[in-house]
Amino acid sequence: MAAKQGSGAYIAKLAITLLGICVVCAGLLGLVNAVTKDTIAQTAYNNQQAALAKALPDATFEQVELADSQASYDIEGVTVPILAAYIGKDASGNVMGCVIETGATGFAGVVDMVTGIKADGSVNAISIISSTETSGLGQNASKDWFREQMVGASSPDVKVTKDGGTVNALTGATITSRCVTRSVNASLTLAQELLG
Amino acid sequence: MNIGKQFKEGLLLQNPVTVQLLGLCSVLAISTTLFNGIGMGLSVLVILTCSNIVISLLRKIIPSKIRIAAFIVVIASFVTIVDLLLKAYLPALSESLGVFIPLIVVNCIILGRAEAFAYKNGVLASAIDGVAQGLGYTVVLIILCVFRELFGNGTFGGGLLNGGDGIRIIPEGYPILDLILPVGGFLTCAFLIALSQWLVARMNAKKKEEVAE
Repeated sequence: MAAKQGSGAYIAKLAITLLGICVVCAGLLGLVNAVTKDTIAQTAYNNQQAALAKALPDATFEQVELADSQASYDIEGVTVPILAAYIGKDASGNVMGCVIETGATGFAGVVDMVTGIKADGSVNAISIISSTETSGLGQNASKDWFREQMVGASSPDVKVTKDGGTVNALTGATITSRCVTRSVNASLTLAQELLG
Repeated sequence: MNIGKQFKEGLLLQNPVTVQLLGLCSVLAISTTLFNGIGMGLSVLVILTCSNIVISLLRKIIPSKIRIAAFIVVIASFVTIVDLLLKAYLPALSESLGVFIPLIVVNCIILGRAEAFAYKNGVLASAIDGVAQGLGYTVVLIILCVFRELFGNGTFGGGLLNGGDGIRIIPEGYPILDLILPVGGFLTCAFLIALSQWLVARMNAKKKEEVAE
């Protein structure tokens, strides 16, 4: 049937063809989603657990409900959002410390990282979960030599050497480095409230 | 049908990156490690081939008035499928390519080949076109990746070899960091385009000489 352009039949034909294609595609996507959903969720969960375990080893974690005032902290005039906080306990239920996940903005997007803080209020370890910083520059924030500089800090005034602190920055521009130190400071501030 | 000619066009004469200048955004953004280059190149190759095949199959059913909308739906579906599969089975690659996999939906290579080739040609020719153009994209991407990684970061095979750090060839502190940054991508890509144009020009000159003799 050669429907005339502009006629109702022609418009209906266009709509039905497009609808048909969309329905088939949607069905296919639903199928792939059903197959991969569990694996993706499992991977995300494993990554998170691995990051928590690195920040505070041998603890079992309980997520903490945060008050509105604890949703983000202003550090050096920059807002550091808190994504989640966990209290870590040992086998007999004693508080070992807490792990705080922050999502501060670096050079190229959010740097999702966790800071593990011991019960005495000092940094145990930090770990980068994901970031899109420049490969070879900001991406080096996940290297041991950089992260270990912040271990042991207990008051929220961690700074790079350029700002009069003790942390050797990754690059001269210090954008990623400052992002990490601010995240650590925000985590330390929150930890003081959580651990009392 | 001329398979050899299609591959020659995809790899050099009508290379999607160096001649058609399509999909440059992702090329410049992700060509920093070998792992990225291979992963992105193969993803585009698979999506391009699949979408070419489907669009060529549907070309008699899709009225030309709604063809762009139909193309986008087909392409977006394949991209989402690849994105989900990568997330599930190759999470490291998915993380490293980030937003550029979903962005293949609007990558002009795929839509360009759908419009320029698959909508007008048979299934087999379209499938070969997808592979040839995809390979052309992958090869350029890998050349850029190897060059930028070696001189910008001093390593080879980052993300793949040596536990993900790559094999260090140039000692730390000596590589030209600018090459890893966007400006290095533009420069490297421009030189590669110049090189491929020179090659094509030389081939044409030789052909003319042969004819003259």
